[in-house]
Amino acid sequence: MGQTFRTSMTWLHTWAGVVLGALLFAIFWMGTLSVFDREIDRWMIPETRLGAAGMVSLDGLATTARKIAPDASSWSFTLPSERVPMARFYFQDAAGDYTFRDIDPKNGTVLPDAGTMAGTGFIFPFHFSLHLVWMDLGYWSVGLAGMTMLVLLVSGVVIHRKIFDDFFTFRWDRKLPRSSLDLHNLAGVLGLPFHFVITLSGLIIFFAFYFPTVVGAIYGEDVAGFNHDVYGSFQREAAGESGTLASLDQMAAEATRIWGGEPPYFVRVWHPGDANATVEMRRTLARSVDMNVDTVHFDATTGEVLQTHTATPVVHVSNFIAGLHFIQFEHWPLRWIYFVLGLSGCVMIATGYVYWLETRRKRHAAQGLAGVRIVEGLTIGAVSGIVIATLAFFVANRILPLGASFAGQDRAALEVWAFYLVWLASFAHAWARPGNAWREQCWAIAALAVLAVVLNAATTGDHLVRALAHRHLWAVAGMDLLLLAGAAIALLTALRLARRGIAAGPAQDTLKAAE
Amino acid sequence: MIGRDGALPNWARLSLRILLVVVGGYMLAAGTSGLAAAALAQVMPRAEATVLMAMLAFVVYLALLLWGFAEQCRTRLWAMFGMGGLLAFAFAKLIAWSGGV
Repeated sequence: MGQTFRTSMTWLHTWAGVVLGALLFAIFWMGTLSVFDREIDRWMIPETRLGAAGMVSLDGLATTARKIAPDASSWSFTLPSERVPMARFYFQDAAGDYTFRDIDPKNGTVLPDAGTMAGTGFIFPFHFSLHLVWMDLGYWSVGLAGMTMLVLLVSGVVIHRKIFDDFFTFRWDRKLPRSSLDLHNLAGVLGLPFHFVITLSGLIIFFAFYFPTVVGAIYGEDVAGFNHDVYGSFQREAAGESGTLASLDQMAAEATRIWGGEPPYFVRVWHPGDANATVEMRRTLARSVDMNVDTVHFDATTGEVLQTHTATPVVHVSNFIAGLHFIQFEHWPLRWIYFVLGLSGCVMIATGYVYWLETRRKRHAAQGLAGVRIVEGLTIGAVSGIVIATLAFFVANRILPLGASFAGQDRAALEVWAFYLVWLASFAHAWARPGNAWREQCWAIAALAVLAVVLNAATTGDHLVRALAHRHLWAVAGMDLLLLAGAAIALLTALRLARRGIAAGPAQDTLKAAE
Repeated sequence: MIGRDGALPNWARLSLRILLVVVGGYMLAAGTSGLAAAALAQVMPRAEATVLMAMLAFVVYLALLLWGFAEQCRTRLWAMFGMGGLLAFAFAKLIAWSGGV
């Protein structure tokens, strides 16, 4: 902290960045990948690389559900969409655990267990929970990191002397501290609106979790009342007598009519088979930014509408903010822009570290301080390390056969082990070989990314040429192309680092490595 | 290392400041936003007041964090983030325990 506001903000920017930058990088990296989480799913679960679904029969899905889980307390279905070719059926199994089955909507075939958490099960939840369940530590860490990101953005603007000039300044040929600071500023200033909005909106999504006091001050312990007012939740007790299920397809047609032609994306039957069963339908998110909470509840036996709900104005605003973050709407150019801007956030964080390191390297060496050595290992492990770990996750997915298990861990768990063990190893490597770690990890990125592409072709037959030729395999082609692009960038970076023979290089280049 | 006032070493004063601003700031933001929501609920629908203030709470917290690390006067810092945070949070919690408004 300093004597003036600006010196205080400089201090805050430097130290908040150094201490929490590594965590922020992990969150930004996983968030950037989550932009394409469904496409990663297609790549990691070849059984779901299905052709276009066409019309889906909800009554057909209900028939399948009745066979799989006749006694479940509820059946939930997410319906196929532009990015997801199969329907997913969620239910509580006999042991009371929530589980799901993927269903090919064309013929009602139940697909084999995916055996992986893939993009939507591992990468996306990592982004907001770090998979740390104990005491919700993951959520609170991400929340703290999110607030820190906002503090870093505001303090970063305050400490600027020439913010307008920084729009146009990148002296890539200067010495490393200067060029990394230029790139840090360029990524930071150009991306500022996106970075601020994406961080604030990410926090706001979880407002009820992060600020339960605000909800409590109005609703007390009445969570159901809050959910009813805000999200239009509707509950009816089971009667305990058996009942019949009217046509879900007719109810969907009615909901579509109510929503002016927009279909449901989610259907849930509450208390299936009971006389008091109800059906909940949620309006598609595909056609507008806001994550609408429009629902229609039907009486399952008669098909009569029991309740319709739409967001009140302020809730609508919060849904719009959530939608800005979740990008569940269908818009490919915007999706790619989100991806690129997400990477710009990664570049900003990594170059911030490089600048910190290069401005202190000589002084710390002269004074015998360990700071640079420690932070450099942290940086390398956090930046290129997590990229390598992600690639190891993909490679493990293509090496392990379905049904594989080792030491009591099933295939999905083994992939996650591969991720964490490789990530840990990358930190160890970075601290053990500080002068070479950037270069060597770039080599590892290039090798693993190419290996992932080769393994995909070898194990599924969907090589790049074939994937490009078939519309329903474009997700796979896109993933392969990004892996190859990442490999190329990592390779160039490694070669350049080797030529220069310097300890720390343009780390930012490695970030683009691989999806 | 002894701080300027000779009472606490620098690292301890720094840790205390971080704890005070991060935790006290959270309590102050959560508490005042909760109280403001309870007040707003008198003039607008309850769900609207809740969501409005729960969203604004992040902005309030951000402003408090920036201020807390720039504030030079330690008396003001402790009064706002220590006393103020505790009071606002306790008051909002009290309303929550009594079943809300």
